[in-house]
Amino acid sequence: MTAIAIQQVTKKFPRTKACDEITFDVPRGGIYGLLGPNGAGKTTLFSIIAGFLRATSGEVEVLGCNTRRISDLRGRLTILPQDAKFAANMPVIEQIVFFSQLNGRTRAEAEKEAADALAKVGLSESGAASASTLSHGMYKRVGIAQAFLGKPEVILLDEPTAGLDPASAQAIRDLIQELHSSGVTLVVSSHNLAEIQKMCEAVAILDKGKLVTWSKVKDLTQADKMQRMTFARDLSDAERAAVAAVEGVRGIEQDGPGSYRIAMDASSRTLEQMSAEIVGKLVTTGAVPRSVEDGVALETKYLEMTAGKVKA
Amino acid sequence: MSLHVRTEHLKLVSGTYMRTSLRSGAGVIFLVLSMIVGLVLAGIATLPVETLQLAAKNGQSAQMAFNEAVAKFGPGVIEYFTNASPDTAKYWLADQPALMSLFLIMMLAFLPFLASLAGFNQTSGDIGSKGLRYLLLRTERANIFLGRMVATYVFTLAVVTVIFAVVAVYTVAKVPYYGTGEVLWWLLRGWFASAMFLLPWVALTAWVSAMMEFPFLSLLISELGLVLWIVITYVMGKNVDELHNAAYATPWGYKLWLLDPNPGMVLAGVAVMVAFTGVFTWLGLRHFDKRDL
Repeated sequence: MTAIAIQQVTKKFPRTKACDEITFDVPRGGIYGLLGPNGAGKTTLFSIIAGFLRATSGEVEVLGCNTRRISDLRGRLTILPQDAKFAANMPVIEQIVFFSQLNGRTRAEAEKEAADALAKVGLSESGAASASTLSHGMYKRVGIAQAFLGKPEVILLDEPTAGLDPASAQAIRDLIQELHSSGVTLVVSSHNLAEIQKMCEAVAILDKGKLVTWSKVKDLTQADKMQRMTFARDLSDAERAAVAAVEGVRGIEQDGPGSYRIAMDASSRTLEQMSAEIVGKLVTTGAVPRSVEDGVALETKYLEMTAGKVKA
Repeated sequence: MSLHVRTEHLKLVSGTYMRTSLRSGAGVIFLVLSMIVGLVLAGIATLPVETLQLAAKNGQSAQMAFNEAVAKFGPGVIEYFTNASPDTAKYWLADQPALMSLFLIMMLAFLPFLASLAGFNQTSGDIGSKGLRYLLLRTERANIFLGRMVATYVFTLAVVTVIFAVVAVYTVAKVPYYGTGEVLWWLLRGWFASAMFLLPWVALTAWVSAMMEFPFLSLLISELGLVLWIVITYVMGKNVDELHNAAYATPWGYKLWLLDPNPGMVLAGVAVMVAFTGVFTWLGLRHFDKRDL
């Protein structure tokens, strides 16, 4: 089942092509990442999916509905937009009540839903404040609160944890996991690649408006085919040969001081079995691993794919 | 173009927009400014009465002086400002309370400016701040556009109604030459004419506002456009017939049909206003529906 189907989407602005024939399908029920350097087209793509921007060409369907008729998805698709502003002089709870009423709730139901949504993001006490008096973090959390209204089946979150303190960011990540476990499809854009690697099943990487890849995180990081081990010192030739001799190991390559990528063939034995044997052999020579990680970091792969074009 | 209009959403959008506008202070400024201008117009219209009452203290009958003044200067003034036929001028000056006619003619000329002052920020500010994005997944664009247009119209008409009410009370209390019934009836007709004439201008400002991302630009274009249009068609049109006829390309050219003695002309005026409203609304909706928000 497809949550979002993106077909040949192109968006041209007068001076730039923000999206260039992007095509991929997001399945239902997982957490997916949308990555790319600044200006890669992530927010534009989100805005096209949500119907804020009209694609120059191509089609987007969410839950089977063409997004040119986006309001047919009332309450089923929600979004945390990146730069959208709330009305400055209106209490935030009134604005959320208004959004909830547009979703079809009665006034009483909307008031309850708004209070619950604000409580979820830890803003129960701030409902009466006007948006202009909120801090950046609180403002962001109000944005997230409105994205939880209704019974969303798909939620788009454009940099949900950017600018939040660590505790608030963790609270948002917990909420995302909670929604995921209830079957909601979430698409998250973030520059925090460790966060994306932990949360997401698959990621789309955009660069200069083009889709560079749409892959499972596990495939990108080769988590089932590779381990990175770090030692306090470089391994000797004999130690490297001992690692290479372990059944299932296809090769060992040094990629930094004391850091090695070990390619494995996991068809006959599990990674854990091979790792245990490697560690067992090396410990006897005094080479105790400081860390063992599956695959390469998503960040490494991302930098390779976008040619290191990460901007500040 | 998607034209899925939900009455419930129209009410919600217009109600919230009106509350937000008032809270932001823009609505209050508009209200105060409109009241001041409206009452100044009423003051200009009734000023001769006070002068004549002063004259009466010098021994002359105020009513006689008043009637003489209306008969002497009225037709010329009416013809210069409205290009009305002698019959129509007579209807406004002799058959209806002349001072109220003067007030109504000035009020109709002021209404387009009032409409653009009220409506310049219907959508432009929220397009610029992307504030509409919270609404777009929850209601059709048509409900946002029309809801805000309706709110602007209702609010502006409420201000006009207050101005008319104040003028009615003042005239009945201070101007002794007209019967209460004829003043109220003529003002009621004038109020209806104003209500109809406001419609296309509110729709036009809704369209202009939907094209802009900056409210100030929307205001500037609306107001300057109006001034330019009036200068071209009215002032320059005094000498060039083609320019004078260009006034009929906008509702401006038909506004006095709404105060015409002939009921058929009034109906035609209403039809023209409704037609212009329809065209401007459709153009605005089409633009709003297609544009990036």
